[in-house]
Amino acid sequence: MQDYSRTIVTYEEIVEAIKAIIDCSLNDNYVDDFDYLNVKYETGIKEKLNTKNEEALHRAIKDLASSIDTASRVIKTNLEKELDELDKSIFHIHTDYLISEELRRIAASDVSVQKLRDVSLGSNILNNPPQYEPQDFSLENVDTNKILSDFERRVVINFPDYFREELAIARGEESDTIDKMDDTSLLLEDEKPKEDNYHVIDAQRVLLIRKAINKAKEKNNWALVTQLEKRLNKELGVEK
Amino acid sequence: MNREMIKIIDSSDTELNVELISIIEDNDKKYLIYSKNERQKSENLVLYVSKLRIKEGTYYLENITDEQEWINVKRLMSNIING
Repeated sequence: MQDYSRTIVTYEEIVEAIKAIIDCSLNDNYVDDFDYLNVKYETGIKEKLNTKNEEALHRAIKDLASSIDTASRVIKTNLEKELDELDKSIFHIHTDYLISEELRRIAASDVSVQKLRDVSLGSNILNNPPQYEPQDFSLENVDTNKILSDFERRVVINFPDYFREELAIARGEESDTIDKMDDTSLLLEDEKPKEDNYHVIDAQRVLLIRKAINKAKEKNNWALVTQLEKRLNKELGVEK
Repeated sequence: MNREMIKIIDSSDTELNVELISIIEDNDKKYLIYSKNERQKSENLVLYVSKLRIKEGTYYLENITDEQEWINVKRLMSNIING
């Protein structure tokens, strides 16, 4: 006997359900072989149903099939809608995270500039320079015009974060002439390989999908769980 | 927040008003950090760092050409920021 206590969601389950219902509604004495919507009986062995009953049964089966077909379409539409909403939800979570990371980074950058201000020796010293520098780096024999022609070195205060590369690429913003003041550049004078950052981005996406799976499980939405698990496997590169 | 503006002059006598961010010192060497109020698209403030040099009672700005010195300056800035 088919278990009808849970939601029917797949085509196979619908077919099984029809078969099970018909199995129960027919007398086992009359039926040996049954193909749903096309009732067949072995002749010569079992007595057939009379034509009137057979037609009525046939109609009932068609009605049932039609009802279940409609129901399955509704279920399918709802599932697709729910999946679409979840997709949007994941997108929003992702976007919100990016925005919060950006705000955090900008705020941290402003705080850092303020720290540099706080330790300043003060502009007063510019008004009262000593006559000469210490001997070891005197300008006695240096052409000051040459010095003045190129006295700038640019730096930005930046912080390593998961999405820095992604955001920079998205904005088309890349600069080879500005050093980034993060730990990476301090250690290596170079940026991390981009692949590393993408890996972290992937990890974040995987985390979000796992959260969504747990949420779907809490709601007993197993169709959604299946969809998300497929997506998770795709993210992880797992072939199933 | 008070912004302190200073005037710098390049070799072609072009004057430029910039915001003084800080004057920091490392091993008797002084460095001027200033801003032209330029921001990257990502909102990072672009800072300019020059070495302060003195000749006959006048300050000059010098580019930091020695890579090790540049690393040291960035490390100093990093320590201040992380301190």
